Amino acid sequence: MKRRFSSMMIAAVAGILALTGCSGGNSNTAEPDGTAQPAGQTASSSTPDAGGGNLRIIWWGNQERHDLTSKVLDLYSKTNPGTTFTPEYQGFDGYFQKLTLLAASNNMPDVVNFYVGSSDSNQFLDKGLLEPMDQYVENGTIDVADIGENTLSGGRGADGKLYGIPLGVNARVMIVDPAAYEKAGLTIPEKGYANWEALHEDLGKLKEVTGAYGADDLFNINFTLAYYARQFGQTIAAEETGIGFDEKLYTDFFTYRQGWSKEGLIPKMDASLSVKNPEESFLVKGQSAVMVAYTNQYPGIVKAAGRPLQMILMPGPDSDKAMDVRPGMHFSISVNSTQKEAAAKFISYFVNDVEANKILNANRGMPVSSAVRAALMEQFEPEMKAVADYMEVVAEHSGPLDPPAPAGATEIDKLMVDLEQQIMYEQTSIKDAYAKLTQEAAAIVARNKE
Amino acid sequence: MMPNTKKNASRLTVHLVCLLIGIVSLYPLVWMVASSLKESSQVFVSAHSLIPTSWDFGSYISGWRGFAGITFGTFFKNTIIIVCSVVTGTLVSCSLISYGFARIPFRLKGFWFATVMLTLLLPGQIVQIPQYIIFYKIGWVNTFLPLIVPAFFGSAFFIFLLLQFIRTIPYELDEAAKIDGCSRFGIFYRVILPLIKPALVTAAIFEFYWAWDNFFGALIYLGRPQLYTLSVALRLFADPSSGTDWSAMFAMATLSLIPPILVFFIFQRYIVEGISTTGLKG
Repeated sequence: MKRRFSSMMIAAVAGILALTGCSGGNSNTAEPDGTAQPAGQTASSSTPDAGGGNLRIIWWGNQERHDLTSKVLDLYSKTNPGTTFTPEYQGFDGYFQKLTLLAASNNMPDVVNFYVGSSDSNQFLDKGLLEPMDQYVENGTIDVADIGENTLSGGRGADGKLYGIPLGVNARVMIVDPAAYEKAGLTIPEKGYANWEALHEDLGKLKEVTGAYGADDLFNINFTLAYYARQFGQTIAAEETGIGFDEKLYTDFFTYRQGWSKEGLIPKMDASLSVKNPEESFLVKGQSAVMVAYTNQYPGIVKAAGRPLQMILMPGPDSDKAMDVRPGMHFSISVNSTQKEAAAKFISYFVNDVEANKILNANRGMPVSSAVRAALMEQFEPEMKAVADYMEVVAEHSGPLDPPAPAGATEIDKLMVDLEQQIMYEQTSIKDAYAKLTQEAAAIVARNKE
Repeated sequence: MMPNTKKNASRLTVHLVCLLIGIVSLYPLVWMVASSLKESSQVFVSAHSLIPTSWDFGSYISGWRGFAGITFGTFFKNTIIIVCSVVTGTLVSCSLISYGFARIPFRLKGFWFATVMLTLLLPGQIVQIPQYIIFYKIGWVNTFLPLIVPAFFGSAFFIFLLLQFIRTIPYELDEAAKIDGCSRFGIFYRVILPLIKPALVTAAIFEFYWAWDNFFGALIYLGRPQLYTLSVALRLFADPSSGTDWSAMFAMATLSLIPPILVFFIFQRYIVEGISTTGLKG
């Protein structure tokens, strides 16, 4: 017994020695390895001493975007000898998971495709992982002469600093099916419905024509509530209380939605939740005659539907005030980048260069630069041209963007989606939901202030 | 007469139930293949129909074209390199390790075996970030190494599988080989290895599937598109915010299914053999 114990001890000590010996040896060998290898990696991916260097750039997208963006990178390398790129493109699924991991290991690419203000990207801002770009705008590296301040402001974080340069602009749009309107004997209000009741009336007639619904879900809380609040001079987010709209607005919004869904004018919650892509919408399948979307989705929807569609302004009173021109995606610069100046120069090229944008062909939304937009008009397909025309209309009929959401807005967004489902599945009353929302939103804001 | 019809009836029910389950589980696959032959915009419009109105192989061509000049040939090549290395590594390491645990007495065997088995319980997500940082520090990110090398150090599941199999082989065979002058490695190589072939094939097939499907590992370790595997490349078609070329995606997904299906049909008889025989033949 005793012998056994002592031999076990010896084995344990030997094991520990072996382990430490191992790790000691490892750290010794790993040291030159560890510095040599990443250096080798940076030698291939970023050589600061060899001229412009190599920029790592990451974005998400589909086949078309990968092809077009790569072409622009090649073009830039050609006109700016010395600058090369290591693109790391992704599908949208997994994009932010990968970015989180890259950030956690201090390995973020220099240029990052982003959406400042989305819940996925707020955590990067909160942790200070992105470089504020105001200085590059001030010293002229990033040229924003042709970009409206309204558009630019969407790239600002809650602290007012500029964290992303918008790559394209979108607007909310109501898409209608002219054939269904004709069949129902209705005329399309070119400038949008003057109020929600008028829309309600038409949907009843359209429902008979389509045989299913009058419209797709028009009241998705992420999409419509912010717009709806703006119609009544309110905002979705607010600095102190978290939410900037009153109980009446919230109640009206959900009363419309519950009523219309009960009448079968719009799909029930479960049916509309099953629509994950605009291509799967009921409008595309011919089971509804009206839907709401962002303008960049319009060409895809028309293609999927395979029949002529038309864009009109969003419904309701005061849409002039409520519509806004929203930046699509942004390019941001990682705070750890060693070549921020070069990255900023490239971003400026990406949004301002006419040749580059002729290749990109508004792939990330309507170009933000008015000069580029004008130059692209002639090459646009009919759907894109329609979007461009519509954007002009929106530009005249829109108000300034809402101020940046306060810290913690992500949590409030999640809470609102939660309550949305509880209301629509009749698990809670609108009144209770609003009470819970005001209480918890204020708590979330207070917690994030500390 | 009577019992016979009864037997037939029950057999019929069994067959019907099997057929039903078969149809239900095959349906998504058939739907995917059918959708790959439709035009992209028609995929969801005519989602209910399994028969495409026109047989359109265009999506196979446009999908194979890949992204920015990198075709699916590259992605297939990458995946095959990784999968073959991983399967080889797993078979070599796991068979050796399990032989050691099954046949060689050594100190603290129980402790080490428990340690190996404990790694089965550790959720992969927990080690993901530390592992990533280690691989990054030694400069392995953007190479295949983080995906391949760990396979050469055994994996608990297969060690356990092979171990159980080796335990069913009578120890007398080892002793006989020893008397005939076999070394320890000789026993492994000449006696044990041929006898656990069915288990090895089972392990190989499983590991083949898992490595072929591995998405997250490939997603985080492979930065450059030239290195992407199929599972990562398939996602490059999808972008919910602008539009997804569904039929091209389904076309490439269909192609990417062919190797696993081939592997299954070629090696499935070994799986059956592995289950029915218990290691002792002749």
